[in-house]
Amino acid sequence: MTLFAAQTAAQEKLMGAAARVQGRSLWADARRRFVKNRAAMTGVCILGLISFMAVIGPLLSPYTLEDLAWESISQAPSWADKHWFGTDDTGRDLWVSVWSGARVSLTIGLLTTLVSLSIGVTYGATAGFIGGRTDMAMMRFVDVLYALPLLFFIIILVTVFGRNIYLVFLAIGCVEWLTMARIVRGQTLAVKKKEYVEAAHAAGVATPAILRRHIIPNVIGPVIVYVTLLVPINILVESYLSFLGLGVQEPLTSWGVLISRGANTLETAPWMLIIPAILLALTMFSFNFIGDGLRDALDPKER
Amino acid sequence: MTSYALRRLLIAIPTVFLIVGLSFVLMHTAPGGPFDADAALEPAVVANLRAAYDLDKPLLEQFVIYAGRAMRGEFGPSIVYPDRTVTQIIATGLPVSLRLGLTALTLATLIGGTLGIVGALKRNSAADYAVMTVAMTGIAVPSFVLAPLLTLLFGVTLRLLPIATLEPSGSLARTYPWLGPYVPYIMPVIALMLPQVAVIARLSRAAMIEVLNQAYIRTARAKGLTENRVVTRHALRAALLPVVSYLGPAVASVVTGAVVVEQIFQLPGMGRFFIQGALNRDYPVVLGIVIVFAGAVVLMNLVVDLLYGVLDPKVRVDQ
Amino acid sequence: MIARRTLLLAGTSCALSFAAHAAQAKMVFNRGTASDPDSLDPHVSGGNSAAALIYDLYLGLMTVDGKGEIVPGAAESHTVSTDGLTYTFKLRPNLTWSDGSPLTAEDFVYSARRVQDPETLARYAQWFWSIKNAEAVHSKTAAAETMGVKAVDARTVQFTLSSPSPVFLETLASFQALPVPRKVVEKFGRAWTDPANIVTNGAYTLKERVPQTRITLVKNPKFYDAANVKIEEVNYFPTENLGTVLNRFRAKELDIALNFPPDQIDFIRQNLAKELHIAPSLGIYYFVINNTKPPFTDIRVRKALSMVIDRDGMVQKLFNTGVTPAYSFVPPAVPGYTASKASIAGQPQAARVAEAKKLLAEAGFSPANPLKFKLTFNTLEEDRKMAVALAAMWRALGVEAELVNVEFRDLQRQVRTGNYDVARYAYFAPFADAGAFLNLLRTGDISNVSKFANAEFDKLMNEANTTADQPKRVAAMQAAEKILMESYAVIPIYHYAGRRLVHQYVKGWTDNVRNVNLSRYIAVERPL
Repeated sequence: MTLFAAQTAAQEKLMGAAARVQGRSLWADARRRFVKNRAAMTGVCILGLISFMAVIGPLLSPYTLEDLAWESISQAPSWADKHWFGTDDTGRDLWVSVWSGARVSLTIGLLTTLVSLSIGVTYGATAGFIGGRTDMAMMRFVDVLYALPLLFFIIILVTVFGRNIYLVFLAIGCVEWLTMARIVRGQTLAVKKKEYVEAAHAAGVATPAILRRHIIPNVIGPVIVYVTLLVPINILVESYLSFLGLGVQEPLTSWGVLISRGANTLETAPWMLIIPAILLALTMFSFNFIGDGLRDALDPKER
Repeated sequence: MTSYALRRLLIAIPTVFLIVGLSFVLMHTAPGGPFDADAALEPAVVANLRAAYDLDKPLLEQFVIYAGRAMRGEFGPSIVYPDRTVTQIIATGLPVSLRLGLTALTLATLIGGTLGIVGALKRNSAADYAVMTVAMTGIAVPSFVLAPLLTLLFGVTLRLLPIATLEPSGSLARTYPWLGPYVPYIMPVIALMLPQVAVIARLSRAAMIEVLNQAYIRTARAKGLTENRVVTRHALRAALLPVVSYLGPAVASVVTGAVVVEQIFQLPGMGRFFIQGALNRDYPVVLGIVIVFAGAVVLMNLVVDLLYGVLDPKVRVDQ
Repeated sequence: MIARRTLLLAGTSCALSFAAHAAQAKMVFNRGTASDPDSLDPHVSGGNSAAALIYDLYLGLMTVDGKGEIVPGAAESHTVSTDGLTYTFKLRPNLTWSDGSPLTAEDFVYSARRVQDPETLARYAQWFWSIKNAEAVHSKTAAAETMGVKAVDARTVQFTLSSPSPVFLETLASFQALPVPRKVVEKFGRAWTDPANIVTNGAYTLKERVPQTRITLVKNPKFYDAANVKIEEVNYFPTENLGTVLNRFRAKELDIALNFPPDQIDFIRQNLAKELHIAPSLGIYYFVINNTKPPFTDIRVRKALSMVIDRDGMVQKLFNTGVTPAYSFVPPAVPGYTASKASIAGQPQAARVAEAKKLLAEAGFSPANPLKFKLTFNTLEEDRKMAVALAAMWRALGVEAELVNVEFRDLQRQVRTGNYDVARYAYFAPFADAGAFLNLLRTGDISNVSKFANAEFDKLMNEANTTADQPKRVAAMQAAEKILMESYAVIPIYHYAGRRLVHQYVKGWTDNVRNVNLSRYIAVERPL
């Protein structure tokens, strides 16, 4: 759990390199570098595969999430029964659960990130672009929110909104945008002072146009990198909450739910833990490799 | 520097106040109350209980009463554990959390830092890849997967370590009695430490690589200093910066946030009390812990900022 | 051997390792308990996992013996007047508190009044409202002295009831009826249960209390029967995570465990067969139906939902931890009572499904107009499993039950405020008595969350509650239960069984319906 608050802060630091992305001319270069990064490309492939299976996986099986088979409780994976990943303690097919869980986990990761992305970018860009006292005040507010016991807050929010997991994750997104705002604000501030932006100003280019043409393209690099790092964190947060019994509810399931259930049957039905745990680990690996790859690709000094 | 620190501390007071207010409102809006327990209670009994804890008053009045008492340092008794005051609960939980968290973080910094620097110095070598794989695994395997594995191996099968107790049981403590007070913390520390090792290793590796590319390092090398000296004298200091700024929030969140680890190993730490408080709707306990936590975060952020100024002369804190 | 002795010496010289080695010197009992006891004040505690501990600390007028039967405790004998209204208890001679001060009839009078004092915040003050004026004292409309309890002399306590109460002796054996030391309570207030202050009259007294970790009791040498108490030190280890409970038991950190993960039952049957104890208990797992909310006002709907559930199949396959399928409300574990079962009990499953379909059709439901409702349950693995299974069986009838998972406290709130359709419920009776179950469904009872209202049922229960004639009482309750079962006001699923793990070296452990095993009757012959 500690991972969470601290890791976002850590990644803010990791962003240092990516923050040096310079203008549009380097995009093609960056893409070339990214494609050459084997770890990152493997990550993309694995993630693609997992997402693909999340969509079609449950459809491939003859079973559904609601099918209980009392005759086949806690069965090991078997090809003949079409229980490719085995069954759980109610006789439900694990293949279906795992891929349905993938849907939920990935959706939650993306959704939460999207919320914090939209708030953070808007807030940070506004503060950075307006500057001066407004910037000061806005950033002081962020400092105040940094003292928020984030994890505890999430737990409180979950107890309040307990019935709707998506609402809870919207809420998490709402408390999680701080780092994003800081990154964007710093970047905006840096770009704003560049000669070409000042020249554009002097030439009478309207503010929205400046934002669109100069600021946003320069900010987008570090933001993308940050997003790739935030998504896995959010997936983890969900799994921790599920472990504590505060996560996704029936009939939905998620990797966190499956893993915490599997942890109890380690000796009797190890597949119930191993399969979702491996998928979760693979997803974590992939996102982090992609994040690293993007950072390296967007940093001109790295080759 | 002193006036800066003072100013920051002054800002901290309304910050903590705001956070407590927010938590107060949220906790009270959570469905169900502390007396919605197993068996239905007689309405007269419930009315008595609610009155005894001021829960029958309007929310605003409750908050004013609470804030007034809290400012005098009275956090009141727990509603669900009426034998204990919130202060007693924190006095039990905080040392456990500190011991667990600080040990984990210190070890994580030492191990993670070393791994990261080794990785950076031997970039793209087999050693580097090995280090980064370990680091990635630490991030990818949640502690609630790791903890049961550890328990099964060291607790149940080998009987080496106690499973979930602060007692010095297990064969390790029997063979080496002086280890007694430490054995209960071994598995929790490992479970808590690994993700931190991973983050710190990645962080220090990235920072070190960056530093090694800097002009002054090249100058130092050109001067003919040995690589060893270059690293220890010049690079290390700069590479530590991001780790230090990471440690700020990490200390605070590790100390109170090892909820899952505390839950699995049944350690009476702050995180466990918090979760139970939240589930039991034990309002005073939740709020008391929030106050401690918010205070800790504010304090740690300040310490880190000051430390940052010491490590990096370019950063002047009173800017 | 020499090595061990050296170790022992080294151990005793090192205070820190004391606990590890002391185990060999004196008899220590390590009990697992479900959660940290809320309070060690018997009048303040809500019971549950605190009850076992409190029974070890205090001795009431009545107590529970090694077989779980109610027997005289601090009282050596008692007499009941012929009208069933006056109970007179004679205390054992020379009883003392653990600090050596005498324990007299006044202590019991004080304690009985303290429970009714609204300031005490006793959760179950109503258990004793059959005592004359007790309810009035609790609501502050009468002075404490007017309550029907008095000390006739130093060794005689007398209770006067307002009407005969068949369960009065049971209530006196409950944790809430235990005596507390007046002087200590008045001196220290809320802090009187701190290890430094507490004074008890039971077989044990409190030594140390580490929140959420351990409570250590030591033998009370002043206990009247101390000569027969073998265990010198009892540790209670609160452990919530069931996986951890099992691991701790296997590592012998716990000598007994009161629960384990139900999905590990097969593993336990294979590997810990001799340690596994399953015994019927006084609990029922059921679903409540909101009887006042259409369409559940229609008995055909309620009956269809209940009769289609394959209880026997579920208990065999899905919940094979020793629970028994429930076709009655009162569990078979209740002594001296044979439950009235619902008429669906003997019917084959296929016939029941067919009839349920017919009933639903008659009630106006069809594939085009399916019965839809919310099935509310709380966040526990077993409840999740049950909800999923029920929804699947109802789906076979074309019923669409939406699963709503809420937190425990939230569920309680929703159910008690009538804001639900069908919800998971469970009840553990505090007394081994059929009335403790059936009274829950009287019109207006606080626990009657189904809002079942049947005048005939109420009349029969009222008759049962106020008669001292046991056969007459049982007959009335059986008739009442028959009415209840044929009204399908609730959906009983199974009667609980206590599932315990007890190491074979623990001697004197008995499986009893009350699930009470006082440490004073047990011995631990731990192999070295």
